[in-house]
Amino acid sequence: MKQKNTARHFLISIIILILVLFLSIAVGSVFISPANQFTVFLSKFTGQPIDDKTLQPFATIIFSLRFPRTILIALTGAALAGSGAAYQGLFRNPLADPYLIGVASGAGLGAVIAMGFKWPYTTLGFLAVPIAAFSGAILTVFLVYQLARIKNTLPTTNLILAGVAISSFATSLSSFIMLNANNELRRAISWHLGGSTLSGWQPVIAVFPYIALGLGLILTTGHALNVMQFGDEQAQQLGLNVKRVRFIVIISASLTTAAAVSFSGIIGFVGLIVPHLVRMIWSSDYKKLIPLSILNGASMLLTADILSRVVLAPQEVPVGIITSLAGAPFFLWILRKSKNQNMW
Amino acid sequence: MNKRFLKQTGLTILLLTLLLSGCQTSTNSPTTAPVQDTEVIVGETPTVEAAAGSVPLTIIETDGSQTKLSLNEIGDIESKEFEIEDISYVGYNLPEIIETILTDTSANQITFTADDGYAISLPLEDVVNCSKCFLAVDEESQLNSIMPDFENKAWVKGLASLSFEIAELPENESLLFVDGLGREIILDGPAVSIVSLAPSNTEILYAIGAGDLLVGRDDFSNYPEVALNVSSIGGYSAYNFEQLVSLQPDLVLAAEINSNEDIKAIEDLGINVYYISNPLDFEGLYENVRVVGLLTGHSEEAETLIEELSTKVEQIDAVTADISETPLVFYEIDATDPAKPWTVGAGTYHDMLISRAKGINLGSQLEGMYPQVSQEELIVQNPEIILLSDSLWGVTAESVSERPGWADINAVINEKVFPFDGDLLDRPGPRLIEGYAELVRLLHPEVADKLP
Repeated sequence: MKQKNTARHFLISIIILILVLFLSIAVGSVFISPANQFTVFLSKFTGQPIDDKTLQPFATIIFSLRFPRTILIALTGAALAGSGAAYQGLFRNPLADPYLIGVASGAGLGAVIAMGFKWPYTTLGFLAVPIAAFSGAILTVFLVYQLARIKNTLPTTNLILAGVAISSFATSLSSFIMLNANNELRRAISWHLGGSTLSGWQPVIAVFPYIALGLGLILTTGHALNVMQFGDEQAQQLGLNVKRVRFIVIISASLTTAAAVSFSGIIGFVGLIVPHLVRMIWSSDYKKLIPLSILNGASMLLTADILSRVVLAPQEVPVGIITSLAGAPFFLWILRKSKNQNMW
Repeated sequence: MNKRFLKQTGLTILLLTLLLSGCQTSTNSPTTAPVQDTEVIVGETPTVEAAAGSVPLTIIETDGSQTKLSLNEIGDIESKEFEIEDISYVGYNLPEIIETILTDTSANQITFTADDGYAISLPLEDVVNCSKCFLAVDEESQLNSIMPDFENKAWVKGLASLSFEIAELPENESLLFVDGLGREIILDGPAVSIVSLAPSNTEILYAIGAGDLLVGRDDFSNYPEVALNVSSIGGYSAYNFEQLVSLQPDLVLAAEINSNEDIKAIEDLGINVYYISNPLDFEGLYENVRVVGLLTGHSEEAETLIEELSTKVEQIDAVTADISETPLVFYEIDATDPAKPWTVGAGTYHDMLISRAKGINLGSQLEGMYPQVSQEELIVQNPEIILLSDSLWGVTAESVSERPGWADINAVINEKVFPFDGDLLDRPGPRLIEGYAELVRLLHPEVADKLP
């Protein structure tokens, strides 16, 4: 019975993801009729140029704007939810999200510093802000890790506390810089709320290796995280190398999240809520929770992105606002209806 | 149970893919049909063919030699029936005709002459590439040129002769520009549909009479008022690129408030972007106006505007030259917290023009372009004039005097707290000169009547 259920859970998640992927490419602030979309896709696959010149802008919109954005958002959602699930397992804390140990504030600080300079119009110049965000995130996590360590051990509580402290520090530092910036304030705020600053395939190519690697590593920790739920000492006695698991989870989750955040800004709520939703609807077994979170995280963020493009068209609302505004009521509804209460 | 479930799903997926691929193949066939517009339907040759073919046509080659022949005498060409905009014609495909009869490949122009003397010349290349162009015969046995996609003048009734010439073509009109970021932009001609991403660019466009070329603007382009009728694609850092693409501009005018990423994103969409850097002084502003004139083919109006503006500046400078007293000015951007108001510092147009208007900008002593000054410092400095750029948001001289501690400032005592339209100085456009004049007027009211 259990195996049948698992397969069904995965099937549903995959079907939802595929549906949302299609919807994300089909929908946007400019209306393109399904017939035109089909023509455009067909001409792309068969390699023939489009006969009707009026369809050319549609082709540009679909392939240069929507397609890469869809992939980037899907990757981001997967990254955030996957690392969120891993952190919740590692820290055994329902409030754990991917930004717990400083990734978000570190990335924000790096980005804001980079936004204060005028970069040349070169590829390196464009990548300056994302690279700075990425470095900021990794450096912050590294700092927190070192600060929380006591000789050879790494108590989880220390990690959380050090993370909170460093996060506050980094956030206030970036606020200070934003205040004194001459022109980039709006851009910095917009970045913080979540929203691609770079369109096209470049961001996708840039983040894909990190997210793929990070999520791949996280997927291998499913069983270990199950065992960790008994507590660090118990898990150690059961034969699990707790230190190594902790190290792997932190490294892979930080890498994944830092990559996701560096281009998409700080999108909250997804990393925290999707694992909980999966837990409530389906299973708390980390071997299934993590892959299901990855799939549904992508779907959720894509849905939020579709809404953000459509709700106030032609204006686009930053994705981070939509995830919280729409996600919170949905989550509360699930919470009320859930039969799997008290899983902590 | 597990196996059966998997088998069921597998079968369903297989069925679905078969169905979809079936749909695919059936919809494939129409798109592999001839690559012509749906308007032209090629069908069987009717009995009118004989009449069409036998109408005589004079062909004149580039060397002047003339031949008279009937179209059905020309080699392999067949007469066809075709339809354009719901009207049926019978005739011969023009590119096919030209291919067969033309002997001199260096010809670049073709002239259609009617029997009443009407003649029109067209570039040969365009005609040869027009697969929908035909020579057709009507009920009166007249030969007519059917030229869809060409201007109406090209449709000739009663065609008598076709001649080929080698004409001197007008020089290639493509224009090369290098913009403020050092990027090269090549235009085929002056831009005719423009999207402006900055209010300063919009103002320049309207000032040189190119405002009707605007098809899109940013949220903040609100001057002149008619600009509000143009559709907006968003504000900085939040542009709607989908809408931008659907507007199909042939030029986007960007400014320093646009980030490099936005410009690269637009460039990647295959749209020309020209980046106008902020001018450092009036000369720089004139240069920008000149460039926009070149980009839009309004160079004359641009020069006129530059002439106007520089004359005005000279006149104002002449007025300020004689002024000796330089009052201390506090330019207020925001005072939501009256204890720590925001002002302009060195490096802004405001600071530059306040100095030029023979005033001293209080903010220039502070660090940064938009510094915050403490109220205590303000009281110590005791400015003689306060300019309220935030009057747009309801701040008045009265509300200023009600702020605790502000009542002792000279400007408040002497009632020299004035509202000021910040847009005049915030935007590096032609209205900078207006801002300059306004500053002089407010700082030195005694010379106000001498101003242009």
